[in-house]
Amino acid sequence: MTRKSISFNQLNKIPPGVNILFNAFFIIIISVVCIFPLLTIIGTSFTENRQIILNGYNVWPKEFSINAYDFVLTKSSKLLNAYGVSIFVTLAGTVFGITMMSMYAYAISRKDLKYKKFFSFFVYFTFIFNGGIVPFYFVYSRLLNLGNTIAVLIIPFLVDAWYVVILKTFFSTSVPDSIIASGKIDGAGELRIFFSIVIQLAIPGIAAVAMFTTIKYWNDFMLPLYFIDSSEKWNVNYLLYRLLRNMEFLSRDTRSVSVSGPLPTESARMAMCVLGTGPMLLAYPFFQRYFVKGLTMGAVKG
Amino acid sequence: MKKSAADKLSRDSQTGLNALFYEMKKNRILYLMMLPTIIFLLVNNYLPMLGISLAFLNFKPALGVFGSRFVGLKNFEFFFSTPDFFRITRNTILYNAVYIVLDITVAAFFAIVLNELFNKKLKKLYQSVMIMPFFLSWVVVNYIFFSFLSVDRGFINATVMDWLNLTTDYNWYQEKAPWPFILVFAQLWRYTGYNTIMLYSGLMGIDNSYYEAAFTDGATKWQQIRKITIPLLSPIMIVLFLMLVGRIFFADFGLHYQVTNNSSALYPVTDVLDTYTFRSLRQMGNISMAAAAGFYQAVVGLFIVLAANKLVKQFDPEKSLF
Repeated sequence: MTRKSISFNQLNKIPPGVNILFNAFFIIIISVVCIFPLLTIIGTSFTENRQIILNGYNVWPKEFSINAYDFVLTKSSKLLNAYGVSIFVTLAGTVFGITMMSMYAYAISRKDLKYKKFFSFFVYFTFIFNGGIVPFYFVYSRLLNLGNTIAVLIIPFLVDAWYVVILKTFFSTSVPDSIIASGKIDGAGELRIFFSIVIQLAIPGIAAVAMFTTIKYWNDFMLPLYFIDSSEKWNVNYLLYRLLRNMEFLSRDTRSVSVSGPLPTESARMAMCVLGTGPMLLAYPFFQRYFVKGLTMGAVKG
Repeated sequence: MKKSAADKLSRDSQTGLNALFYEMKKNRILYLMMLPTIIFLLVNNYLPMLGISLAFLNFKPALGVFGSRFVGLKNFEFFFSTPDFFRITRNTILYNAVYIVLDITVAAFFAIVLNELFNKKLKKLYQSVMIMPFFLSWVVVNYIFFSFLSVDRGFINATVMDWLNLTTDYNWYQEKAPWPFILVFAQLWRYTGYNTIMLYSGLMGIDNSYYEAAFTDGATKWQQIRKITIPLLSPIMIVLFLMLVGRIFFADFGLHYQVTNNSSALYPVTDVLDTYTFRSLRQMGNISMAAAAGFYQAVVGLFIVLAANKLVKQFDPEKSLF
């Protein structure tokens, strides 16, 4: 049986020439479209600033220099501060968000919960209708008075209706009722059943949603754009955004250490970008395996 | 024994408030587990739903909702009479329509080609690299496009034109003409990997016996793709299509705000509902206009979502929202 299917798979293939053509197609596409642009940013960040001003952004540094990194990491406090904000917001948001979403999703996945239909619709309805950004803005800035606080970078993204739906599907398909029932017979309370049995079984689903939530927090620039004025509460991506529009901002903020010569503005900007994306680029290969899991659960971009 | 007696009692009294109290008591832990999210949704989602009534007020934050003057449809009269209204509606719908069609067809093409490759390791590698842009923020995408398009230092103006022995000072962020293409390209750039992997995992689900049967009957690979792969992939594509169509009135704020660098010269061809509302609210301080545009988006969006969901339901009841 096995031998037959192997030979079938070997026979039923595209011609080798076409295979090479398709591979070439993929290699060209991914290197030109995906890798090259990123290398341009990295290459520029390692180029001596005056070369950039003369010759523009380029992949290959005409004059190699790490001045930009030296400047960004030791002479300006902005990036490190923004890193702190981003790490705190991402960690707190992901931990609280995942806890809230999975507790809710688990409850509505329980067949013996009488009002599960109502509470499912309570979530679904937020897909169908939302008040838009204007009331949202005033709820946070006026009503809750959270403008210009770290909390406003965390709270609005805590619960995403779409992820609640994914988690609910995951709980109802991967956690058998009999396990919950036997937990109850053994005298475990609801919370204990949830935290020590259910969560263990649903780890792949929770990990996928945690990954999406982490990305959402780390990559966010919108909440600071709406709510944050003072620069010490900017996260990495919002800092990057401000720097792209106005590099002078960085020069106004050098520490007491005097910088000799003109600031490496162009290369420092790209160095910031590399350092700001770094954590995501390092983490995504690890995220990836949960990614397909998250997708096959029926997730669509949302 | 005691427990079953209690159950019996509950069955007898499962009417009205008694049933409610009994349920609340029986599953109180579960309801407590739901409480944080319930509070969150009430504040973050349901309260702003009431807030769309701001569109009927001459809203002054200092006076609050109840202190502000009721102006009826004045804000809408004003909003609908501006040329912006037509422009942002057209841009939002046209861009999204192009994104949806290209996203699905390009991803399907990539997924099918990927599926035919011999080498498993290379397949994995291509997927890993293709998905990378999805993990970058729109701000970083802005940097990447800026490093190519910047007037004096961009890779295109400074290097490519130099190779061609041309000099140019083409100002990409001031010229409208290329932007529909740049935005479509940026959107595809960021989401093609993601969509490809999604459709590819759909392809993985196709039963191999279809291909075995076709192969024994002498079908060529091209015929198999046309008669087996595409028909079996299309249900996923159609559901995806309808779900995206449901969101056609909601633009990608990050894409249209960041990649264009929020350049005002480009607004005629890049401005969409979401960027317009943002600017009215935060940059121009025209709350009434922002509220009217937001109300318009919310209500029209509602009907489109409902219609799309109805179609999804007819097509595949399991995938519909409600």
